[in-house]
Amino acid sequence: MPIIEVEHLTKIYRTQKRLPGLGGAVQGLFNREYTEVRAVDDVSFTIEEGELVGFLGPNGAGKTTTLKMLSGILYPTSGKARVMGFTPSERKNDYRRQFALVMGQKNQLWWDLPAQESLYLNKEIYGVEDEAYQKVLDEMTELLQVKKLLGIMVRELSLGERMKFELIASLLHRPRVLLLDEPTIGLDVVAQKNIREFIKEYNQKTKTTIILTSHYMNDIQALCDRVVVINHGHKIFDGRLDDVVEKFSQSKLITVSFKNGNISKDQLAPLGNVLEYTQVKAVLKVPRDQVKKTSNDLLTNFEVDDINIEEVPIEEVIEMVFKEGDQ
Amino acid sequence: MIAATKTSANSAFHKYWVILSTRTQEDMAYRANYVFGAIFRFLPLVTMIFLWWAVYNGRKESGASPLIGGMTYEDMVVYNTLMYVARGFSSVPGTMSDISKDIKDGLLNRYLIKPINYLWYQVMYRLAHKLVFWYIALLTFPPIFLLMRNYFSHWPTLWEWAVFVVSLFIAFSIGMLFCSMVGMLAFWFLEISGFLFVVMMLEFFMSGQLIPLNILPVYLHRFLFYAPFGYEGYWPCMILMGKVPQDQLVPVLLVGFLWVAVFYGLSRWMWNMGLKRYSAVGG
Amino acid sequence: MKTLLKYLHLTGLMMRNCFVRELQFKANFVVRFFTELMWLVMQFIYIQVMYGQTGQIAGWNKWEMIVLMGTNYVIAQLFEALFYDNCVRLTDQIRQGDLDFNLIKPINTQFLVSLRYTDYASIVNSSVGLAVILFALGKLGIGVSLGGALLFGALVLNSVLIYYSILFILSVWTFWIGRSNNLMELYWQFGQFSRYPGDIYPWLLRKLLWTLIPMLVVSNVPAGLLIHKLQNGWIFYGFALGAGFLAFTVWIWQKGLQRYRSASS
Ligand SMILES: Nc1ncnc2c1ncn2[C@@H]1O[C@H](COP(=O)(O)OP(=O)(O)OP(=O)(O)O)[C@@H](O)[C@H]1O
Ligand SMILES: [Mg+2]
Repeated sequence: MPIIEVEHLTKIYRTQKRLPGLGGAVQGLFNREYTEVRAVDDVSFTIEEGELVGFLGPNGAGKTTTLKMLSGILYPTSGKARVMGFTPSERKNDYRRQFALVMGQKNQLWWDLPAQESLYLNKEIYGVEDEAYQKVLDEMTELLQVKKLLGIMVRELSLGERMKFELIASLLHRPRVLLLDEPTIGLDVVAQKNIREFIKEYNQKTKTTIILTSHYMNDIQALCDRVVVINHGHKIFDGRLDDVVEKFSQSKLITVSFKNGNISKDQLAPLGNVLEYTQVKAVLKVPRDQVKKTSNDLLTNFEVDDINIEEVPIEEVIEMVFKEGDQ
Repeated sequence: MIAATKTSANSAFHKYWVILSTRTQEDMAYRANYVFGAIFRFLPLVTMIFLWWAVYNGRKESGASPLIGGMTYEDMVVYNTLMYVARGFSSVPGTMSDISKDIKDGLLNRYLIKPINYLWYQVMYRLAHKLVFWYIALLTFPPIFLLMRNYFSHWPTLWEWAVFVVSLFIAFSIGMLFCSMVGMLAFWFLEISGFLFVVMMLEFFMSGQLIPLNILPVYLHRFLFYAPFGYEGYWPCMILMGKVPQDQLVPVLLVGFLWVAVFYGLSRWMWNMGLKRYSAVGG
Repeated sequence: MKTLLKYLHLTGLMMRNCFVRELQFKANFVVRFFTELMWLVMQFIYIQVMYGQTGQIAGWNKWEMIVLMGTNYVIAQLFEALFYDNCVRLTDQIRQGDLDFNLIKPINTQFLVSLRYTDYASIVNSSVGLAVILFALGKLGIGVSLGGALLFGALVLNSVLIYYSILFILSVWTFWIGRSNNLMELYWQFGQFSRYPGDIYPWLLRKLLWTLIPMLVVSNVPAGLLIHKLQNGWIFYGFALGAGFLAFTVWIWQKGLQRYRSASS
């Protein structure tokens, strides 16, 4: 049985429309108009225990909203979500003891106290045994290299350090399901990598089910076998990351280098879209179904030193997917 | 309004108008907040009225004179109601704490780099608050005054009305300048937020909002009559109620203007001194 | 029983955390203490001026009135110590979407948001109020038995919870109206009603203050107990009302949460 099941999940926000200017404000005192934002619109998917799934989507796609509904923070407008057999919006204690949510943009640690105080409070709230607590704490502070920072006031920690403690605070009770909303936002490359590796290892070791959102493709590529792409509240793709490329990118890139450097750009133009050109080397963008023919043409008509066929970089494909949704 | 905005687009005043109107919009966005605020603002008046009634009643039963400080029970009710009008002009909530916060947190830089005068900006900002306050108050005050029309034993003369209006201007000026000065203390003292409450309480007391100044023990009211705070409440009320003798109306106003001038000078001075210090420390 | 212990333990833990936190802001503590003290002095002056004009107000003499003032002060300070900050913060949390982490904790959310912050200055202040009560009782020549003291304590606690319920309900309104700083100010304005004997108010208002907006139950019942101006029925009524209000907070909190929008990301 899947550990997370989502069926036709929908969340509509109703917000007040405001006319510009002082006149609009006065008018707003007496009558109000509302606009509806369909933040999540009829989304369905299932996730099996132990999977690490990435949520992809541009700003405002509805990723955070989905995670919040899975945590029981928001009530769905319609549709159903079940996690570990629980309905999240009921917020049963049994459910809440078994999952965790980390949000890169919000913090749960007490601002004016050392991180360890917040961790300890969490331990007591979740009813974690002393021994288990000590063990998890040692293990994770070691792994994330923040052992020395336990006694430092949270407001004096750097963003990356604080994020690591946020992660630890959420993992003390060894949740079965872990929801990570942009855990690497605003971090430098090293810290990003650090956290990324931690998540990977944690997932492999503990078989925790993880949903991750991130705008950094590096995160997604390194961690997620499976991605769910959301745009404007709709699910537009669900499957392996590689398949995203196959499905959405109609072209491939052919890189050729020539033996003698007297090929002109005009000679290449009929074969495909010339992206890069020097006298000895060129990159051509070619429709998927033409790749074979074009490479043949290249090999027969020119003196080719080396030829290389690649997929378009994932960032570009994703960019295209996002743009496509806008139309 | 739009036309006015356009014609004054180039005048120096325009930007202050924009500040004023932006601020007002912000306030109005929260309709319920304002309606509740406007209604519940009168709750203290209710307790005040009944407490005074019990006091006057106690006096009657013991056979003492029905006048307290020259005021009948009806006068007392009117005084406390008019106090709302006066304080509606003189109280500028949030000014002290906002100014001190701007200074303390270094937010002043934000204003210093803009071509506006910070203190005038504050005045506009508060004026916007007042504008919304009066916009709502115009709905709530008239019914209340109508309800209490029998309590008014004195219909003010034209001259008293004029003096009253001038005194309201003094009320706003003194309230605004005083709060700015207290807020500017943050230039010299780091943490004044707790101290602000003490100041507000003193203002509450010395303006005559709690008890009419003339009922206080003689040694207190002698002093408070000449203090600036009476202009934030006591004097406007007494003027309109006709309790200030005709020949004293002008002297009372003159003392008020004197205080406005003193406060204005003081606040300019504090601002200049403070700014020197602010930039020396580095904000 | 076990759950109760757990919640008490957690309360202790949060209070400890706040204490550690407070130690960093010592100056603030002192200022808060003196501010509140001054407030008491001002009320005292007020009563002094009033009783300068008449010997009794609605049948209460000056020292009885001061017992009432002291009782009210103790209750208000205890409420402010435990709950006021939390209620004010709650309105912000609802508006700015900061309830998220409270909502996912496996523990009663209302408990968590209601007791997170403790204001220690107010706890100290409440003992000043107690001293005022004792002094005034001495002037009146009234002694208090142990049973009476305990009952008084329970009534004070009950009043604190009634204040809490009212303020909590007002905070929770933020779910519906979007912003409610003004509503929080209602505490200070409703609070006015509890400062005086119920008999100064006309019939309708008095009934209202004994029931829907029970500001008289809050102050007049415990103070009335001390100076023997109270029939026993009112004590029972006070407790029942407190329980009813508390139950209502639980209900409206659940209703409100369904409207939570978790704004700002
Ligand atoms: N509390 C709210 N009230 C009204 N509208 C909201 C609220 N929260 C989100 N929205 C709207 O819902 C949509 C989805 O927002 P959501 O935060 O889920 O996006 P996201 O995919 O997480 O985006 P990002 O990558 O920027 O974090 C957006 O259009 C947003 O404006
Ligand atoms: Mg998001």
